[in-house]
Amino acid sequence: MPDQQTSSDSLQLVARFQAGDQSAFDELYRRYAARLVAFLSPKCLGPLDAFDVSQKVWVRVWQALPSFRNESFSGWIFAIARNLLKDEYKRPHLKAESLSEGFEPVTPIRKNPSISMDAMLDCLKMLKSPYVDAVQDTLDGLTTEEIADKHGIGTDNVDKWRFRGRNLIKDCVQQKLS
Amino acid sequence: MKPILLHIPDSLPERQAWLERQLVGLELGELVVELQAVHQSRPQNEVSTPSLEEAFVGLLPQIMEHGLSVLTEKQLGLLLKNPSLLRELQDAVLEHGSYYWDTVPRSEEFEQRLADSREILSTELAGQSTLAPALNPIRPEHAPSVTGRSGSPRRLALKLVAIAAALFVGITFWMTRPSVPTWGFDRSGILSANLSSAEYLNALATAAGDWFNKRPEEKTAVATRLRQFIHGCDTLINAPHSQLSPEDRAWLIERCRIWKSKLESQLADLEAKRSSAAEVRDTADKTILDLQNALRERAKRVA
Repeated sequence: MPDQQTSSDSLQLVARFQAGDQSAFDELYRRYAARLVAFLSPKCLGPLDAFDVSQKVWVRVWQALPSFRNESFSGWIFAIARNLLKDEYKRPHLKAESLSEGFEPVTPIRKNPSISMDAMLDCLKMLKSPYVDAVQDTLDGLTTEEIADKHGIGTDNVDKWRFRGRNLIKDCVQQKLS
Repeated sequence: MKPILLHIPDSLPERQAWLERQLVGLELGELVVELQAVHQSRPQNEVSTPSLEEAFVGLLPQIMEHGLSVLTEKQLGLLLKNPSLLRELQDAVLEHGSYYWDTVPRSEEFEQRLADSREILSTELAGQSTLAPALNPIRPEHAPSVTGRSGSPRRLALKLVAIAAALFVGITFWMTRPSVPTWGFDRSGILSANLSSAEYLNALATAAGDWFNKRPEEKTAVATRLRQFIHGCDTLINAPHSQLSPEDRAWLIERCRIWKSKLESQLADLEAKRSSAAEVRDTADKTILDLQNALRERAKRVA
């Protein structure tokens, strides 16, 4: 959407809405709703839900759209989302979830601690296998060639090693969880 | 639920497509937390995290326009090594990314919740009409008047019978309508997207990746999933593909027919119990990976 072409399309939709064509609002929603929720999702911690916050953003958009005069609808709606998040995190029961500088926590806080992730970290410490190392190397950003060099294997084998490594980790996680 | 990062695919095109799905999806926050936890659990040299602009010098406009397929394995690795970059990149693609990013598949759960949200918003806005006096809330503009202007009791009764009959027919049709898949090549808007040839072929490859979003294990569920994918192949075969040159269009349709016939034969094996559900799913995985690779290779050639 927000590339040049679609950005000007969005402005046309705004103009249509301002002229009384309500279907234009539907079209704006169709274009931006998923992006907005995805944008909010990692920023909504604790009791905040991205879909609920997104609803509030759209209500604000509905209320303010008649007087919209910006150059970019996309910039405008994401600015509303950011401001709304700041407001939400100012609420007393949510303050603990936020931090001093703005709404975004320095260290993201899990909504629900993932037991499987803890199990995986245990497994990574416990499993001593070059296959598991190959998985870790991938997460460390090493390329297939770099992993092959590091372990002295052909690049063709790297995928097999990673596959085996992942299976070892999965089995270990499963065992720990059961 | 297993950690998300155990699902990171090995092959570069698959990894690119998988990360794109995370960027437009609902689990990116969780993925970032997982990657950070893994990195923190290992002793590492202190290296400062580059900014998005430093990590992808001159590449950001291309990423916004064409997705992560413009990145090399090394560049993609930077995102895994520095998970905070994923968050920055997500904000950037959602706010500034081209239409391409709207063609990246989202989970069915996400789609369903979006549809539910739209319903709730519609109701909420209906109650907001006083806030926007120049506008009517979103609701049917002219609700039919059941009483009519001069309705005699007999005419009113006839109208009610007609409405009841129409409702019955409508509901019966709705309940018995064939369920058309909304993923893969049947994904809404994918075939009519205004894209270049290469972008279109890449978008089709990405859409085919929807297959991997669900991993059914039961025979019936695998068969249903396969039938839905095959339905998408039919949709693809019959589409105009105006984004492609005649030569590429002919290539695509011919390839589609071959892929479809492979999948149909896998479905037949499953139904005839010649292969187990797991075997058929694995074979279909391979066919669909080949299909995606072929589409991406073709995209590179036409770019």
